[in-house]
Amino acid sequence: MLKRVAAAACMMFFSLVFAVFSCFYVENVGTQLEQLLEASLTEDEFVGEISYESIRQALSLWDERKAFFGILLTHSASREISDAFSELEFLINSRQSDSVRESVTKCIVLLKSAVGREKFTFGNIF
Amino acid sequence: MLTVFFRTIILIMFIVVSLRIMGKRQIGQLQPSEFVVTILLSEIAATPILEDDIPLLYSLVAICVLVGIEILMSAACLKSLKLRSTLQGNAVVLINNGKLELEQLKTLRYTIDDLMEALRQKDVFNIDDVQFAVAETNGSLSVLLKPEKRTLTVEDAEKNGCDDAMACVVVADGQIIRSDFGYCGMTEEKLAKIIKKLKVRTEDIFLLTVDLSGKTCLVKKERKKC
Repeated sequence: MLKRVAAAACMMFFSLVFAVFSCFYVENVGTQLEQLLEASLTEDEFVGEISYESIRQALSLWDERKAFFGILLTHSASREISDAFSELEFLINSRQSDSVRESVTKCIVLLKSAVGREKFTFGNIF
Repeated sequence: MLTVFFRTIILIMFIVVSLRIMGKRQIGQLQPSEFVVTILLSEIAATPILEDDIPLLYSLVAICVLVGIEILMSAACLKSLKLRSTLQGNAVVLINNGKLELEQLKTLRYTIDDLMEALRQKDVFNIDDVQFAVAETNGSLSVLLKPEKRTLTVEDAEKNGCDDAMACVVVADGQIIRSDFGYCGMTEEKLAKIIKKLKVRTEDIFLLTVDLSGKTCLVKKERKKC
């Protein structure tokens, strides 16, 4: 019986550790991406141009983390974010600045929503 | 489609291992909490197979938590009689010494038709043949026939018609179970005498049963003796 109890305790412990890690990972990466994207909109606000450097940093960060991000979020949510980033990358490469601003905003909204869903709040629990 | 194929294989393996850890019994023998966990397990396992939007990890984490909680609850129930009684309920005597306990039937929301059906499933077609009928915590009905209706064994023949009736648990896990005293004519004084006669302390008793004729069966915590 003691072995089973130990196995059960281990299973619950690892599940909890994974859940906490998932919560913090999504929040951390999501916030970094949001900050980079928001910076791209605000940095050159007075010039009226978008900071492409911040967006490229966000795109490269997303490329690094998207595989793991996809495991932690529902597949539809991670696919939506992935599609939005792909669209953003295409627009940057084709230098369509008006559409880029729109696309960046869309990415920020999707990321905020994903991070919000993963947060440990009463609203999410109930 | 390939995803579904591999997800199914992973989940089957995971659930088989989980059930092995749980060491479960057949569906008909499950306690209420075990029954709930079994139903939830099947639902949680089926969801990621049918819905590809849900990551497999969600399901695996949920199965781990369910199995973990079930094992920890079982372990806690082994230690605490009160918790066991709260989570699993108690067996209820529906026919006591040939007399139908109507109040208990009402408490369990058991109709007389339900009782007759359960008796028929036990090959008992006449309620008058029953000496004791007990509704167990897993929902099954245990039946003890009146001595004249039981199958004759060599032991019965030698006893010359002596009736042992139903043995009641009076001490379990070192704790006195007073709820069954009435069914075996037990009192605190009688029990104290029996324990004294058996030369054992109450805390050292794992199980002590007594029937109406006063026959006892003792299982000590360390070694078994009957």
